[in-house]
Amino acid sequence: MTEPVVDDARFAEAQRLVKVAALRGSPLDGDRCRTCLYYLDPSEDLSFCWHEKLQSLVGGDWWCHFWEMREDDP
Amino acid sequence: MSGCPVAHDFDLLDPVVVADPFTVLGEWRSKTPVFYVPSVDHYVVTRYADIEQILLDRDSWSAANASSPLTPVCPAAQEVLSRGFARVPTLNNADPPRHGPMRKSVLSVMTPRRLRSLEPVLREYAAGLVEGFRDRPVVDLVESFAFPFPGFAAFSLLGFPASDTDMLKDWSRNRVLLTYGRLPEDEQVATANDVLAMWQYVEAFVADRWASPRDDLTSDLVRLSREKPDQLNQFDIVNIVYSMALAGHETTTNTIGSGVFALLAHGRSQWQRLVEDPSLIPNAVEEILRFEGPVLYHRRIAKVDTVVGGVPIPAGAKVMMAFGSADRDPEEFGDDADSFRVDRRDAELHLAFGKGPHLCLGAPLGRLETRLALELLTSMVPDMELVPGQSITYVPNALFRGLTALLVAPRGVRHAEEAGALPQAR
Repeated sequence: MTEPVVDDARFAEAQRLVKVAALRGSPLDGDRCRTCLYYLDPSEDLSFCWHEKLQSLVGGDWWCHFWEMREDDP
Repeated sequence: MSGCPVAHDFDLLDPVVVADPFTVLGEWRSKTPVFYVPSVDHYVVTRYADIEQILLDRDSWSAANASSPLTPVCPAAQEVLSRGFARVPTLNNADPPRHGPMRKSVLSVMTPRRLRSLEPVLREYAAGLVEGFRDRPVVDLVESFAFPFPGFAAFSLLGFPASDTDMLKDWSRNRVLLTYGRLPEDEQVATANDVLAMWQYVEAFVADRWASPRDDLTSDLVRLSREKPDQLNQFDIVNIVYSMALAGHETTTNTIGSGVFALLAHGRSQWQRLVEDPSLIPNAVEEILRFEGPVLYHRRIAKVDTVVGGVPIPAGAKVMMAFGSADRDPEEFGDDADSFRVDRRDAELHLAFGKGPHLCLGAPLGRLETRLALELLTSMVPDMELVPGQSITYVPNALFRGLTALLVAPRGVRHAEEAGALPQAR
């Protein structure tokens, strides 16, 4: 086994995203990325978040404090 | 208080602290980052990392005290409020399970699309304000711009008539003083009457929209309530609108006033950078919020025995999170955290709007208004300067930080001197 090589710059950028968005890997009060306006494809468990502060791959059951309601959300 | 430093002499409303809370808080942060203040019965938390931990942990912390008066209201003022003021937890001060539906209700009507549609209206109104004073030799920027612009924005959004803006702004100022200031008893009674009047105004306004909805955010809440009565009722709407009728503008008034002051101070170098490169304006908004955020403290109550910054905090204890200190914490923002730089890379990490589940829902509106203000001021009055020798004072208030006035010369100090509006200093 070789030691994993961590790209420090990319790691720092990922940490920054988590911090800026208060991103977490679980829903909050039933709200989750999949039901967010900025989640590109709600039919997928992983999808792209197009919120200007994230622009990143996120999980459907994650949540961040930029969550906005989809207009078709029941 | 076992194990916690006690600050017997710490006075949030000491004029020296009101004028410059950052120096005092910075000294505490470097020596004893968590301390107890007996005079207000609150722990004060000063470090960024500790405050971030509290904001993200709803299991240990309640927001129930976030809007409560800092010191008890006198019995006579309390009697005035008892005649009809019936506020319940809404957004700022609600915990689960009530907080989620309230937040969702407001998010569903305060959409990015609504804000986009508001932008041209706000730009036109703000440009009209600047047009009105750009050729005057000296103007109070707070009175002529920072005060009316956010009020117009928030009240337009809610649907309040423009003719009521001045009255509502005055009531709002008094709400802030009653809740977070230290007024003598007779002034508390007068102010309580204003609070009650504002509450009754909002009740009547919501009743009107309930009967005949129109095209505004309040009417959207009414429609939502009819679709989802279990999520939102008329009384909830009164509480939400009452809450937004203050939160929607007071903080932005303060952000614009303090922000322009920071830009124009110290030789105008930061102002000039925006004049020459407007692409820096969005980041400048974040830096203003970090450096001179409008909310100095926000509050929580411990739900369980816990520990913050190594200090034990018992269940039931009240805590003030010093945003004004956290946003200048060198551990987070580096050794130059006390410097104002419009190109600071990490400015957006500030806590001015809170963080996590209680992130301020008005943040996009506040950012929009501040950006528009800077775009218009730097393009329409690029030569603006501070009037020299003026006394800078802040509203006597422990939690909100805002200038009482800011005298500027829109076309520069030399123009003001030549117009006879200033003593010939040169």
